[in-house]
Amino acid sequence: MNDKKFTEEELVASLKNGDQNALGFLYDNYSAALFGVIVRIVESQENAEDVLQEVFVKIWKNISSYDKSKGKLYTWLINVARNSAIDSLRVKGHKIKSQIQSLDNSVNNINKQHSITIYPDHIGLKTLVSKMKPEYRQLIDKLYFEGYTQEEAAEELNIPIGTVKTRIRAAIGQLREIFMENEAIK
Amino acid sequence: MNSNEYIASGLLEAYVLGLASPEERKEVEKYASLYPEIKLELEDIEKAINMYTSEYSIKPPSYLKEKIFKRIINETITSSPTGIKSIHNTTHANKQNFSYWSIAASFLVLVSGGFAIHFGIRAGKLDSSLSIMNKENSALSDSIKVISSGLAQLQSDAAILKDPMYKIVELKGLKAAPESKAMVCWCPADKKVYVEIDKLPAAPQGMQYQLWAIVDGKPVSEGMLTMGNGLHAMKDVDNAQAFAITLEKEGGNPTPKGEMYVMGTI
Repeated sequence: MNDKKFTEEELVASLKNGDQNALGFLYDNYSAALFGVIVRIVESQENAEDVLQEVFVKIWKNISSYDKSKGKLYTWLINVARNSAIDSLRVKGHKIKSQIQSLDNSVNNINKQHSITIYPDHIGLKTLVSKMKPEYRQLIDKLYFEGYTQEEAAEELNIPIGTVKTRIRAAIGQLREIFMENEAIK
Repeated sequence: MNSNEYIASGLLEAYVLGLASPEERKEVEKYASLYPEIKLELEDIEKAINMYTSEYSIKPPSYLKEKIFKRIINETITSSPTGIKSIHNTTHANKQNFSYWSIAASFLVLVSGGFAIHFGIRAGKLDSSLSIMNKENSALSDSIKVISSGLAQLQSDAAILKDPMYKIVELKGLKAAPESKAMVCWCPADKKVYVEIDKLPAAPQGMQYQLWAIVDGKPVSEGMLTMGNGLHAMKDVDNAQAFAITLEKEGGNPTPKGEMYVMGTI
């Protein structure tokens, strides 16, 4: 692979043309974000590697279905990764398991939330996410990373569905504030 | 509903998180195309979620890039106009494509012997390089397993250390060895106790360190210490005021007899 740099538009166009240099660029720039999301969902390095492979094959085959009017490339890529990871768990019946385990869940979730903090890349960053209220983070993680529906999250967290909806908005509001403050400091 | 109310409804957040129903999706997309302020809000929400996910970035192992590229190149080569593809896929895809593949295979045999030989040779070559790659891969995954188990320990330690329910008690060195140091994590709610030894002189032959919880002025044995990194689970204790480590005979004593090395109050 050469070191050619692509803008997002060039990247999408080159990928749609089947340019493997573009795929290399995509891999170098996005694989860590995708892998991070996958690891967080499947919780096993080995499975995460399989899923990442599937994800890149899917991206390569389905890039033509990416529509930039519906969001950024990054969002599309993350959604491919997220859906593939969640599907891989469904195939293995983990979802059901996770619901049975709900008693243990508080412990597992703590582990989960912190599992990420040990990666050296996150030493600077973890402080940002840790500024978020724990109940907000827990909800976003359940919905976004664990594939819960709003109804399932309401049941699991034992809160009314209305509260789930308002809490989602509050959580993202807080995320936006945190990132804005951080930008301002920079 | 005006656009401010629409923005406040929470639907845009649900949309970006992928939680909206197909009807809701259509509606959001329609409004976003009509009202710039809604589009802007959507973009801001998207940005926040993207930053959130990017905070969790983990660089994949370096061998994975080549593996993925080989696979994609193989799939590109083998997708001929007759639709013969996924021959060299890994296990998942093989299962899904089995009937597809068998139809394609019989078609192949029917259409042309030459084609069959051509693909046979190619498949043979790719299979052997695949088996080499598989071997390398399994060696790597073994080493990953070793690393993961260390990682799992670190993860669970980090979870305890970060859990606000846990009290962290620093045990400081006493006269016997002032530079000694240990730490106890105790959760009053569920009574769990973990200990980590930072520094203690090596125990003499036949002797072992024992952890004590001081409950209402009386020492209660928390169990014997094994050397090693990380947090070790000890016996649960209710209502402790202090923790201490003494040097006792191997297997421990019901009440402390030996010298105290470290102590910390809660």
